[in-house]
Amino acid sequence: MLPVLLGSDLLLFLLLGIIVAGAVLAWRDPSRRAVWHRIGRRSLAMASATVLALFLLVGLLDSVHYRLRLDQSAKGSPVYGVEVYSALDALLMPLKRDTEKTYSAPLATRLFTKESAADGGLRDFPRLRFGGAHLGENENLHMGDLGERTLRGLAGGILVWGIFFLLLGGGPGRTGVLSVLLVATLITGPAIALASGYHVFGTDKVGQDVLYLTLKSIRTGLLIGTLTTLVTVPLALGLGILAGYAGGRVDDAIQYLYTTLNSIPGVLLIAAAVLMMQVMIDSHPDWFTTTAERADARLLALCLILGMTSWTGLARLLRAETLKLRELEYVQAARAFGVSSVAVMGRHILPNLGHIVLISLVMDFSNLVLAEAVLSYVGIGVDPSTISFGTMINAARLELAREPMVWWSLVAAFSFMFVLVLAANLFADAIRDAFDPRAVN
Amino acid sequence: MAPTTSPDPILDVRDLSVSIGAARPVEGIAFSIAPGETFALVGESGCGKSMTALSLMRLLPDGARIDAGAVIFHGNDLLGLTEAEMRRHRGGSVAMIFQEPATSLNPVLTIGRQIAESLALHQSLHGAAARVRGEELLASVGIPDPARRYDEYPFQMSGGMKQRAMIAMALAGEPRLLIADEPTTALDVTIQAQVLDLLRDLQRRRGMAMLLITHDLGVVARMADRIGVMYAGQLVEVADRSTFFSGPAHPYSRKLFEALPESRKNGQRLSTIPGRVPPADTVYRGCRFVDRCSEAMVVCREQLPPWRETVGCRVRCHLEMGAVKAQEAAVAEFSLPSVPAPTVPLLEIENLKVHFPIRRGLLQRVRGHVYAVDGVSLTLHSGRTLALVGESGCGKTTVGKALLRLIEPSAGQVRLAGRDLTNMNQRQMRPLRASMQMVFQDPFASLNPRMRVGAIVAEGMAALGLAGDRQAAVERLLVQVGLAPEMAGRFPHEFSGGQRQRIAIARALAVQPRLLVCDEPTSALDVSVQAQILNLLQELQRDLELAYLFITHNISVVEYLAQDVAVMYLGRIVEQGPADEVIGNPQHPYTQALIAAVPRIQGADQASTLLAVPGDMPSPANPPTGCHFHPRCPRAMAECRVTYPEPTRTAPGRMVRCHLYR
Amino acid sequence: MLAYIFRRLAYAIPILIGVNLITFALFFVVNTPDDMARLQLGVKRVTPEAIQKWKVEHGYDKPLFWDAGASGISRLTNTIFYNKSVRMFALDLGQSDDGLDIAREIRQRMWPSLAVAIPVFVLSLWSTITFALLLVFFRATYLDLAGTVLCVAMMSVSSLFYIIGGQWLVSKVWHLVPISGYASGTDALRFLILPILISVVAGLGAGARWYRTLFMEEIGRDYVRTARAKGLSESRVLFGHVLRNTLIPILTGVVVVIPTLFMGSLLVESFFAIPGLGSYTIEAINAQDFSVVRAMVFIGAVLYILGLLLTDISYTFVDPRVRLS
Repeated sequence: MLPVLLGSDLLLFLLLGIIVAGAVLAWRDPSRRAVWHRIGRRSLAMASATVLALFLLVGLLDSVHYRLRLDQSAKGSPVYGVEVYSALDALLMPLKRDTEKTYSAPLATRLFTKESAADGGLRDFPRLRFGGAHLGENENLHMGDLGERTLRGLAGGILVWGIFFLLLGGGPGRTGVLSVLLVATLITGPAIALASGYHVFGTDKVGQDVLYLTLKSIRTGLLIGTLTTLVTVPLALGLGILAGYAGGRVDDAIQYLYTTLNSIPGVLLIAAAVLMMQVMIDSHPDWFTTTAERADARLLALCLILGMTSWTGLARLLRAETLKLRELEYVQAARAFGVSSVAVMGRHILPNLGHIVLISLVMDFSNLVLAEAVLSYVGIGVDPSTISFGTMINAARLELAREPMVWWSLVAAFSFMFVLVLAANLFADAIRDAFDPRAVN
Repeated sequence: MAPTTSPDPILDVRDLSVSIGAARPVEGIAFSIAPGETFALVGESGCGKSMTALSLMRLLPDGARIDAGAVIFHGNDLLGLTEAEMRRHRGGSVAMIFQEPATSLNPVLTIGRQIAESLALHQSLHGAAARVRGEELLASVGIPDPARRYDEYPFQMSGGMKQRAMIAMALAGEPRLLIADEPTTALDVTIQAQVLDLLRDLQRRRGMAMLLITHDLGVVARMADRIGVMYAGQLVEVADRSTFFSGPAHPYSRKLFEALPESRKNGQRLSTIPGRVPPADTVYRGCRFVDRCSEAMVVCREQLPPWRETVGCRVRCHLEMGAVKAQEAAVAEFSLPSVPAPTVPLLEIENLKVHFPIRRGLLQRVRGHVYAVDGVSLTLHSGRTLALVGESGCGKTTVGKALLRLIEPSAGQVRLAGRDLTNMNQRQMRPLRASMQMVFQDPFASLNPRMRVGAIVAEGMAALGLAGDRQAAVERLLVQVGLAPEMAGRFPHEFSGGQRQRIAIARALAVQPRLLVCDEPTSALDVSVQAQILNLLQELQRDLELAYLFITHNISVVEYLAQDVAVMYLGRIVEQGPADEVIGNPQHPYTQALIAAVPRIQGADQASTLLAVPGDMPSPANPPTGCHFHPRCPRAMAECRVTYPEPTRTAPGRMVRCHLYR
Repeated sequence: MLAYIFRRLAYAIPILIGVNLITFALFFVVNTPDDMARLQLGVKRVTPEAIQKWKVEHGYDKPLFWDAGASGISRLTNTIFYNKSVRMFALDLGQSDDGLDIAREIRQRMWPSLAVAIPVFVLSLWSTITFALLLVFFRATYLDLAGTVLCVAMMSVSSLFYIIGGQWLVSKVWHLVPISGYASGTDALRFLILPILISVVAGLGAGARWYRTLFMEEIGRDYVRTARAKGLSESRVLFGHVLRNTLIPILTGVVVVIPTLFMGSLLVESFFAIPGLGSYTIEAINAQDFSVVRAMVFIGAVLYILGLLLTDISYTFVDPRVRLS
């Protein structure tokens, strides 16, 4: 096994490191700790945080990549397969591997389309290769089997939840966590029990398991929603503070820069940049060894482009706040000691902008997840080979006209996206209420 | 007249309690107001005064509710009315004016429209009739040219004008009771005098009752017929005017008086109240003031004190009436720092100017200047205090900031111990920054909320590269300003306003300055806390031989603290000299007006005879020709309109710039 | 006032130059015209001749900034920069890569875009403000809480879902209107109803919640307390005082988009096959037609700057502080 560190993995773990370090730092300040305690006591906030944590867990599992060693080259220098797997793939290997021929409905035992049998028999819906294959000839046991597996799954789910319950105990905010965990275990339990024998969300056009695709999409959504901030935050902080504190010509120049960027319609600027990036990647095929790397490079480039086009709003906010802070008396006091401008910005301005950055980040996250789907639909999103909510929806959309409709891919993608974005929005609300002194509620 | 209840009250508040969640900002308040009477509710911030006023109007903020009590107005319990019935009283028979005229008027509606709204609601006046009445009202509150002002927006008016317009709006419903919540706190002292006179005049003419809420005993002395003192949500004393001012009964009331700078002679230690008002969710068994009371007894902790009644006074205290007055707090005498003036002054300011350019038009060319500071000269010796006095916008803070080069001066010279600072660049300035530091006005804005107290205090030492054990130095400084050394590890939000101001002083002292510029260091503080800070500044000056440039608008603080005073008006010094002489015998008409405008508690029984100076301070962007003060000056002459008077020495060490003394 | 407008206009010129430079850099400096030709011609092993021919046909055979071979002014004008970027200032948008006049296309296609965008704009504004006002009127009750939660849920739904779900429900299940398409004249109405409705619904959650925040912030101000102390009823406080003041921040966000309504909506137009500028842009992106994308970027920027100007002017109507000082 050869560990592979994709650029996006590296950045994601880097970002996680920054967040953990920031959390540790913030924890040492009792006033900020008090704010987090306040969030911790709110059930809805904690419930949405739990949902986000579950999504994050899936995304992180999907960010540990490796390439398999090929057996035939046992001697000499090892040779590795070109396909890159992730820890999540390893967990879901049956789902990834067991592909059907084409569409099949959720939990079905037969394909969605009729086919002439190989022996020239009647056109019929052929049996699936994997879905319900364990039933063999006894296809009439289908419903009973589904019921049995569901019950088994529910029982297992409740058992696991019981363990969580014992671990966490009661307390303010815990109810939110526990109720989310209850729902999650009650869904996951049956899903696991069913997935070992069926395609829980059906299969797509080329027979891939939709549940697997949906879970893989989570990482893409998370990456777009978080890595973009690695571009926006430094740019917005640097330029926003500089513009607000230095004033004069520096301020004019920075304001000019962001007004100019702002005046280009966002989608078009992204489209133009993505098109150009595509041309660049296409004309340099030698840059990447595997398709995964190529797709990853494109994903990162998309984050970079989204970041370059979306830092202006935050920069404007930070500039306005810096203008206010600059006139505060503690800044004046520092200047009276002859403290250098850089130190004033670093010690007195920057730490007091933290809540604005945080609020804007969590608010942007959900917008970015939603934007990924739209951009991928328009054709300026992730690489078509990258599994994402956008590419799933885009592929499924073409089948909408079919009668009866192929609805499961769409429903799966939309519901996962909805849960993720809703949790992010609710969490963002909680953060804003807790940190924004002006928040009214 | 029975002092504690009126025979036929227009308003009778009984046992009123308000809660916000677990907090109980108002608990069991009872008082009454007779027609035509002014009842003043006094106390420090956080005592529940405003909450009481808002609950009378049933205008409590979301989340607050009235738990118990009755508000009998003209025989009706306002708390029992439906919301629609209550609305007829609100702005009709009971009107209210608020503290901040700048934010209390709707910025996008004309004054006239905001008055007409009330006229339509309560007087059924519409159209032309409403306009006529509206202009009458504006005229009656002393707004000149009411026909024009009627169509103006709030932002086109000065603060005093806005407060007058607010009063006109309140009068539109022909109220029989006016609730005035700190109506002059946001105003300058000369404007405050105008507005207070106006209120008293209107009240007399209309026979209106008034509930005046204030923290300022001077305002009480000027206005009130009866007084209620609030502490931590309760009334602790209700007394009539003469009884109250001849000797307040409750220890808290008495402390409030003793903490006033004007209560002591220059150099004497002010009496202070230790601790602070407890938070509104405190649960009490005994007297609420017990922890801060110097006369607390065992019973005070156990039992809620009963109301005791004597002639003209009702007090909630376990102490016998006489006992309170018999005790006199021992007053530690300071010897006034009588440092002989050395030959070389510590600070010399010569003809300092700070002009801000005004840019206008297509190309943003400079079209004029704001003459914030326009030729100020001052001298200050080590160990002495020079007070720079003036109203907001006169440029006094700009002088302080220009000294420290926080604002670049446009012209003039600043010499510190003989060295000219004005031509130095920031690098050359650096070593000199240790010699002069600043203490700012707002204790909540002057400390970085993200830094620990230790780091805040040490910041200057680090920036100026002072050697030595910084941690030990920080601890020593904290002790010096009356805090505990272990407080270095805490963050500013854990401290009260007074403690924060101590930290700010420690920060300034850390670099061992010889000059402190104090920019209104006590104006954001309650009077008892102000006394603590003034005492501290006195001690520090004596111990460290500090020189203070004390920027303030508060004349009584000047009297208490400063040896010398300079009065500033519109960017220039109009009068200067020894503090007691200038205050005792002001020569410039502006100084006279300023001192006359200060509401004082001494001689509260005699109505003030000095008339308030009219009008507002003009804009420093467009100062009047000649003497800047002539448009408001009662003694202006022809010459005053033409030339700005040169300085005249009227006595040794005294200077005045006025044509009367040529 | 006039000087103010002139100053804003003068400020627009450097911004447009900046936009132009950014797009030029994106399109011609990041990748060479050769790369673009190769992409357009599609085949991996295209001959240099074919590339050259494509470049000549589309006017990409000139030097980027400076033609040393030419003489006089044409050293500057005989360049890609002059022909493709500078001439946009005269609204000379040139031709698309498939040889059509872009300006003419835009003139034709802007009407269907407006037919969707204007009703959406008006209805959205009306419905979001109404909804937000309702929430504010019932503030601190369960109705407000439910409404706010509904808003958060609505803004968490992908816009793609609104469109796909709406088409499925209204057209496929209920058969009320055609699923997509466009017709001229009044016939267009039955094609327009669904996209308009969906756009309004899709924007309602986020919009209403944002406006609710603005209203709540305004309601906490001192002058509102003054208005109540006058004895005004809650609805008169809301409509007579709060609404007027909240209009100021609302205008900031609203007026700026009015000119960009011309650009149409990418998603809605492409899903509903409305031949407007939005679908034109999407087609251009999918066909990798750089000339059209470049032209749309420039026009979008011009319209945005116009929007900024309109915002500034509109302030003078609602805010006396701006009008009179």
